[in-house]
Amino acid sequence: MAENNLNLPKTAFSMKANLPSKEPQILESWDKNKLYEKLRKKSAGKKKFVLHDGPPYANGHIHMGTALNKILKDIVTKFHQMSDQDSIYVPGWDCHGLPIEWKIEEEYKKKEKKQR
Amino acid sequence: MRKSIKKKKKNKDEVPTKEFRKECREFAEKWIGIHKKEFKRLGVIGDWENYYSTMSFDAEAQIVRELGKFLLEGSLYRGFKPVLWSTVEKTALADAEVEYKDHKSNTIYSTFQVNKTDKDFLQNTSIVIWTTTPWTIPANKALAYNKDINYSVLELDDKKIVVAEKLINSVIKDCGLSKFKIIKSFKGEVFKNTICSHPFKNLGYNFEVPMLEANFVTLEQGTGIVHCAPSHGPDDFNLCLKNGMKAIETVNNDGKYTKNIAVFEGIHVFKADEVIIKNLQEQKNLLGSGTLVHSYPHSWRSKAPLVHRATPQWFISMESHKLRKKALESIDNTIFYPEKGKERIRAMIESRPDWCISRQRSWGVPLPIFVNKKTNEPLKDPEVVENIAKIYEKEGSDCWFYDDPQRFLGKKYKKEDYIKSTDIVEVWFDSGSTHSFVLEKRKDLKWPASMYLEGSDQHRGWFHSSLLESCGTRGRAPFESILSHGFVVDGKGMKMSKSSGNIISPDEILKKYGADILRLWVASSDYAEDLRIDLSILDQHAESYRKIRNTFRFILGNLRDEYKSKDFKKINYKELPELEQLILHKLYLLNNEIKNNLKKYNFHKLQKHLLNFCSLDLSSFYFDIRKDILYCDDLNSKKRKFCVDLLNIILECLIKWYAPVLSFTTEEINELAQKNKKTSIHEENFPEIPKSWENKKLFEKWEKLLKVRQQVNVAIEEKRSEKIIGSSLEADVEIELPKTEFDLLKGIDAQELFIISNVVQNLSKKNEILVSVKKAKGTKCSRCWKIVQEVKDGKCSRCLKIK
Repeated sequence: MAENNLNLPKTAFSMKANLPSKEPQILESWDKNKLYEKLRKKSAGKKKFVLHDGPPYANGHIHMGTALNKILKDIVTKFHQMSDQDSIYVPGWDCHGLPIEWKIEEEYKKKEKKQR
Repeated sequence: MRKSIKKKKKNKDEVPTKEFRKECREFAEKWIGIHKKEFKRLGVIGDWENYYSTMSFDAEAQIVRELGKFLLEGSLYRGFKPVLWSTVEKTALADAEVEYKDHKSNTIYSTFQVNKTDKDFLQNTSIVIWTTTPWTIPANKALAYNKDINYSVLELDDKKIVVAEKLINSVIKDCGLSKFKIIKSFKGEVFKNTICSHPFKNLGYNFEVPMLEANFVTLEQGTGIVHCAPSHGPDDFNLCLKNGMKAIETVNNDGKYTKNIAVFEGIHVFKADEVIIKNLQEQKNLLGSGTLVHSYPHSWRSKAPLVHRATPQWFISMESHKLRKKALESIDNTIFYPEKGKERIRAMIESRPDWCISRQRSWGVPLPIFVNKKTNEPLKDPEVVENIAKIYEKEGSDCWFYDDPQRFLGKKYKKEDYIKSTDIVEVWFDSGSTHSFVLEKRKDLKWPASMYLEGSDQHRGWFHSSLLESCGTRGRAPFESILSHGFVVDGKGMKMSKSSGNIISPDEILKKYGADILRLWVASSDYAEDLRIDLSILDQHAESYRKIRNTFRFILGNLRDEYKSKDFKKINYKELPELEQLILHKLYLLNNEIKNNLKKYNFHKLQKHLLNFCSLDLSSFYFDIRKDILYCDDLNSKKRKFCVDLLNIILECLIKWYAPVLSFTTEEINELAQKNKKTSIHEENFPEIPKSWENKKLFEKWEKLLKVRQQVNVAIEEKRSEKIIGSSLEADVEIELPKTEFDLLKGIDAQELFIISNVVQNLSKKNEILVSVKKAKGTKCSRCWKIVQEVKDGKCSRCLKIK
């Protein structure tokens, strides 16, 4: 077909997404370019939208429930940001309480058993 | 465990607490670090560098100030609440320190005479209860029934008793009752307003024992009526508190009845059963007794059986300063997405008891309270509260446990006159106060928040505690709106659990699919209900993603990865072919849909509109028709230029509309298509679609044309499946049309619309559309593959001109 001078589509945007390997690179560029700070600077003075983060408990790897919650928060935050607002998201953690006490006590228990 | 360390270092009581808290703090810090990475990997953009935590020094200081507000206004009071208590170690035990193992308990069936009732058939009857802790009978304050259970009145030789209908047989057997007659059966709801006498009425227990409705009453064991001692069980406690009956101290640290238990004061509860049973018998209120081996809580250290014992705790009153009323009003002024959340939290606030905010643990903000030894009243001095807060701000709250109390009291008071609290603040008060030390304190934020967004369980948790804390201290909710979402369940709607083996971890999805697929799943699911996920559901979303990606790929390919920004307002609309005008109108409609659904946070509907636009309006319609122009027309042809303009416009709209969801993919496209631009797609605003793109008339016309097109497509598809033609370009279509459609199609390039090589249009006499398809006669252009009458060098006249 090439000899026919057809204007066939040509792109570096591959059909296969390779998201698991590509996404971390994009993350790096956001970090490097200080995207969050740029957003704040750019939208200073605009109408504020504040989604206040309910703090997850600082214990154990994230699961589907926490992932769903954080992604939904991010989608809401971004939709407001792109609607010409200053959409601010400050993540937080809940740190006190029993589950952590238990973990530390468990560690003590293990140590004590070893000492016996 | 700390107790054991304490024992080893008797003289340095404070050191283990300090060490223990340090380890807790380090543990939390470690997990914050891990969470941060995991959340960022999902594409979440936020102030990760300046996050907040409830254990930061300024948070701990502000929690003291918040609590101080309740203390100073007088809504914080000391009451009693049952906890699991070891009479051997003389301490409360947390759930984790409790082991369940078999224990032999004494069981009794005891009778409570009905004293007041609305119903004649309950007059002179006795309500029967069954318990495995006879020693709690002196602490009885109420009886609980279930309004949905059926109960019966039985006539015995000497009295009439009431038990659940389904448990008659077991009661009869256990109590050795040979003769009985069922004289009445009724629904539990009838018990309403019934009041009984205590079985020890004649020993001085001369108070009313009301019957209360409770859904924790089941038919599993006993009589279907539960005896409630608010000082000795959490269910009993909550039910009684809800009905205005507070727990009192009935058993002391050692496990002996206090002076609040008449007749039996000083008896150890583990030796009391025998005495109680004897007395019940003497009072003719013992129907039967026995023993039961059952699973029972024991201390994991001493192995001693535990008891529920009411201990002094601190509460925030729901009534004294109208906290309930303020909270209910605030709910009315809050927007809920979905709306059902409003009723959910309202019902909870309406019926909740006073808020118990003290815990007998170590890892938390120490309760900043001094109780006067003489008056037994808490010290209420704003200067002391602020002094404590200032100290915490500088060094955190560890010092409370080991520093000289005089340091916190200041100069005005003598430490000898006060007892320093050793409790900590319950964590829900911590997180309920985040609005004060985050929203209020940070200049970049605002109070109240625009939105709180959590799983629907937080109507009981964080939404609830934040509402109460803020209404108590600031008279209104700390949020303007609440968005709540369902739980993640497996593909069949079952809860995920290790034992079912149906757990999917985010990490697994990130490695197999990537964050954008997970994000697409979130945005496309209806969060108002539980959200289903499994590999086949993810595959479906990966398929949708592929369609979206191919839409972008088609555009990028035809733009050769070079996006040229168009000023939407300057597009010369009138100059465009109708097809392009139609697509602009569709963009206008889509923009409206997006805006409307955004207002209500209906992301799943919005995603559906976007996906349909990509696959139906673009891929299988607009792109399909325009492929010929794009691939085969001269680069300078007007039509092609219009189409390229449109591709630029569509790209800009789609990339922005998709950015909040496909945050990575849109950034990938952004980087590719604008190589010189250094800004992120997330710095952009949504496109503004000019009102001038709206064209209802054109839309209505094309709706009709598209119906014709659909019928033509069906007819072509038939011939294709019969292998009469290959591609649609090999089709020659003859079509009969009613007048309206006939006229409409006249002004349109029908060959282009149907993607065929020849078309004959006739006016139908029958007002219906008839399509016949045959293989086009002529020669195939080697370049554009259309069948034409004449070719030169194998090419049609258009293609011949192209160098």
